Amino acid sequence: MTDKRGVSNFEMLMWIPRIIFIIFIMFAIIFLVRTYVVTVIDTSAIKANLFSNRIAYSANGISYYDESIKRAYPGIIDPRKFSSADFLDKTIYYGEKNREVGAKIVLKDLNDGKESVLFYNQPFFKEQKKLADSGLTEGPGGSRGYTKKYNVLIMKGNSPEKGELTIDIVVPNS
Amino acid sequence: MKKIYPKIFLDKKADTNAIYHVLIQILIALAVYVALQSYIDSVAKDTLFEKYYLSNDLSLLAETIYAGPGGLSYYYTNDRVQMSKFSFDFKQQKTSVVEQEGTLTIAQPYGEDANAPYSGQRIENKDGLEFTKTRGRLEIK
Repeated sequence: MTDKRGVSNFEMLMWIPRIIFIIFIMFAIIFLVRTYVVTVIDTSAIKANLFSNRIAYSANGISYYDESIKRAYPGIIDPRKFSSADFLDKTIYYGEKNREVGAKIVLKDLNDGKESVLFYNQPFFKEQKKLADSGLTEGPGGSRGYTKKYNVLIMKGNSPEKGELTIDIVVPNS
Repeated sequence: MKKIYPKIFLDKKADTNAIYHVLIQILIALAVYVALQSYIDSVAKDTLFEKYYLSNDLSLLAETIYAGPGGLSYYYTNDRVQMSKFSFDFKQQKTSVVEQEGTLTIAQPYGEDANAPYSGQRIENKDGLEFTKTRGRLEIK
């Protein structure tokens, strides 16, 4: 080890762990930067809230729509729209393969307790509802479930009656 | 056969070898600094978040406008992002935002009225977007 060449070789060998350490530090810094830089915003709760409001209030939702003034009556539900099972699928369009949102809408007549049920994107809702109920809500592939209740009036003939609207929504994680 | 070793570390004077070692360490430190600085610069200049934010915000706005019970008009501006840097496309139930041709496009979905689908032209160099809904039909310009 006293030979000059030997000392030199030993020092050169000592560079290997140093370089490995530098590479490790570089990757650690890149990892930290990538961890703290936000590129995705979770808007699933807003999407669910907005979608339930759209079903309840918009003209192409389940609200009573007055053709003469071209306006929907928010909070007044047209029960005739529950007679067609795919009514909402025909009015709100997310593309051929809708993997964005699914919903189950239950309208309860508070006078006789009768319930009417309507689905939006039923296969997706049934598939993702199981995931949402299981609590597997984190990460890609997971879904979150939201429930919203409204006190509404049901338009039966010319006399509105009291009712309760429950909208269950599943939205995949963004 | 005589082996040839690099003479850089074989100087007879120990001080000279030490200086070479220090110089190499400085060079490696500089290279690491330059690499990390360029990486941090690329993260700082990246507009991915802005594009994601704008496409998300605009698709939520389109949904909100469709959710309205009647006709309405809304002028969208954003003082957090320089909107004129980006181009906007509302096609096939997606809000696409792109900075310039060839860069990554970020698109977010929105549900449109199946009875009155909207398919507009690409909107470029605008500081705000005007959303109008008349008789269930959406217009964006």
